[in-house]
Amino acid sequence: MLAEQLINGLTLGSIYALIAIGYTLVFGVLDIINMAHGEIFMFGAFAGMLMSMKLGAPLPVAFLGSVALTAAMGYVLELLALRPLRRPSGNMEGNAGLSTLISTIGVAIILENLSLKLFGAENQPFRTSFGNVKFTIGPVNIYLIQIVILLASGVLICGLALWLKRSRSGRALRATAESPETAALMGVDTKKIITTAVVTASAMAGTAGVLVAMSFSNVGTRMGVSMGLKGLAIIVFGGMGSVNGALVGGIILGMAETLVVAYGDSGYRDAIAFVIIIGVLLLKPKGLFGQNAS
Amino acid sequence: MTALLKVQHLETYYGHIHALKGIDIEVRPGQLVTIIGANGSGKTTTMKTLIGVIKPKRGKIVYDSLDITGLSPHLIVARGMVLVPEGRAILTRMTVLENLQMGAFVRKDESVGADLEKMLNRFPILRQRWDQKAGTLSGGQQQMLAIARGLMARPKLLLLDEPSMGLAPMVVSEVIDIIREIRNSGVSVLLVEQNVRQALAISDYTYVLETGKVILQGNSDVLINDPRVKDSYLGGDRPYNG
Repeated sequence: MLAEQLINGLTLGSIYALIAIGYTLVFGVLDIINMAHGEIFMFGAFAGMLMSMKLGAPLPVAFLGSVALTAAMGYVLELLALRPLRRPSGNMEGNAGLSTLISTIGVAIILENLSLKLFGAENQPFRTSFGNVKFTIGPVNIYLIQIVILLASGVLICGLALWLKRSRSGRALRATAESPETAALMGVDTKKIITTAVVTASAMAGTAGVLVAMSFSNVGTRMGVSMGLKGLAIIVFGGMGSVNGALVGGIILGMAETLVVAYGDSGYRDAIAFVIIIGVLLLKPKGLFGQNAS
Repeated sequence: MTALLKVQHLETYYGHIHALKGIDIEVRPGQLVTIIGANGSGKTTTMKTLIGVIKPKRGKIVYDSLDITGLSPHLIVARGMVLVPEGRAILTRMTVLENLQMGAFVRKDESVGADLEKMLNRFPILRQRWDQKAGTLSGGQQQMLAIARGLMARPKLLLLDEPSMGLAPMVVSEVIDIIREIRNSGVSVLLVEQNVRQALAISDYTYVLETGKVILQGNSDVLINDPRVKDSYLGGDRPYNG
């Protein structure tokens, strides 16, 4: 049933978009890939699951708790692993960019090991009261969880886009992304803006973590690695630093994966996505929405 | 009259390069002060040190009766000292309007909208292209935008670093006119310029920089006839034939 598959693809794609936008926000202001992003996503998933299943917190509370935890993780990441490696003005000169990248890889390894210690290597179930609730509209089945995912990611992405486009601090973030020094000359406290970007990106990863955990009904410590890699692939595909690129790229990847599983061989699920990405990059090396360096 | 900006024995290093070797500069309220000097004499370094992008090693910067030495740029800008940097530093991916809005980033007063309107009236080309990406503007238009963006902060002291660089002669004259206008509106200006003749003609006081030191200073109308300035910066006494 094509309509159902399209809904599945859109749901998966909107989660990918959430992850990819997080990468893009941090890349925009710091010019580095945050390699710990996937692990923060995984911690978000576990936090949501544990608060809901072990502590019996209502789902919205578990959700907010997980967002708060991952936002805090983003803050600590910026404070301990990123800021000390930057020049005071926020400039990434010399090899500061490279050392910051390595530093995020270090954080990723620490988080992965910490998660094994805390949560164990086994996948754990995450059952929600509405996991099997579905609506039937004509011949099409929609699960409630899919609606929740689409609504949550839709609201977040639109909110973020509006904030970037229209608000004073959103403009400051875009200015910082283009040139930290120029933004500082306009009176922008670039340190604050960079912290905002890292915290927002991490909180979005946490949100995506809980949504993924709910839709797959289980969580595992390995989920961060594969999601992290896909998010990375999406921003390369969509164009580094472009929010539109992350959104469109995420949805294309989600759709492609779903359709391949539905109508082709599910063994090629991950492969076909990367084939599309390589194809696009051959034709448009800067990605779909790539901007020329200025 | 107390100085709006008083720079004492300012020393700045670029890595191991001793770029400023003890500079003293003063700008009084309402004054237009020029810094001239050859490439590498430390003009841009002076501007960047004043605005806080580079931290000085030694010396003191007092602005508006406040010691601002070592403060971050955003704190200095918030106090009304604004730099329009060399090379314009337009935010090319943002629109003309957004660039102007960014200029007013530090302001929280009600008249930002009115000032925006004023700028768009003063620079009609910016009104014409307000919704376009600033990167699509020509060099001269970008310079107008950079100056207008600087004015959007309502500075008390405007630092202009080579505003005429790379512009066609006609546009240079326009920029010079604008600078004079800015001074006449009551804003103090510290100007770094390569067009020495025009800069001296509109300014009150001039400093001549050489390898990180002030080697000459005085009223601009006196310096313009100084043989040392004539020889080094105005092409000597040879008649100018275009």
